[in-house]
Amino acid sequence: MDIDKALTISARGMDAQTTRLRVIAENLANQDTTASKPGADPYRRKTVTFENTMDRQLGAPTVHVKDIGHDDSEFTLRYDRSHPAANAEGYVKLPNVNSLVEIMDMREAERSYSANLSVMQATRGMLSRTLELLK
Amino acid sequence: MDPTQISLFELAKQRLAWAGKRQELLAQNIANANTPGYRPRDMQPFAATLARATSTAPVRTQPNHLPGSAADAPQTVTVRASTHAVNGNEVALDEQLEKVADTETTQSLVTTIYKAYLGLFNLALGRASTS
Repeated sequence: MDIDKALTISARGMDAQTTRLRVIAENLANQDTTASKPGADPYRRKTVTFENTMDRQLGAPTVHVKDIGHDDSEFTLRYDRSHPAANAEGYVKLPNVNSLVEIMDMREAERSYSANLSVMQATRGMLSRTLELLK
Repeated sequence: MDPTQISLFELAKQRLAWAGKRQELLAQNIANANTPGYRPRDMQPFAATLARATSTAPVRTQPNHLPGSAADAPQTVTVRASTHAVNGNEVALDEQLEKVADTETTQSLVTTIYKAYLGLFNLALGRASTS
């Protein structure tokens, strides 16, 4: 039934956004995680991509997380000779996490999540009105 | 089939099926609001679906022939974009949510009419207490 499918599709959408929020939380929590050995790499920012694929069991395409990848951008360097991760020249590599970007991503995920929730509420209303016909 | 012969129940059934299918498509569009390259889809207007459902089909001279048209499957269209994101996504959330509200209203209207019509039958059968 189409209305049932709509509910599942919205639920999968919320699921995907939740995974995205989890990765954002991970990035934000690790924005100061440096390495402990000299010259080693610090925490690398993770990225999430979505994909719409056919769910054969449901008979409709649903969204899901395609891949949790890594952001390959450069690390910033800070001069701190006393740091355990400082290289021979005294520079420490800092994570490539930009908290402003993460917060913006978080807002977007939040907005998409609540849009899915609104659709779910509307669909439930439609479902119950259809069931009302039996009364 | 003559359009004047479609009963109200049949019409309501088709409209409810249309609304259900549209709700599914809109749920898909909103679930993919952040999927790169996704383009939103929508249903053909109900009038177009109805016109197709009542149109004539080719006559089958042999029982082994395939039927000429698939009138049961309502047609979907890819919507022309009003917004473009950098990643190729063309879903505008506010526009989609407005369509959801519209579908909900339509469905509410149809179920109300359906109930009222059913009430007339009950009245004719002498079961007065229906709402």
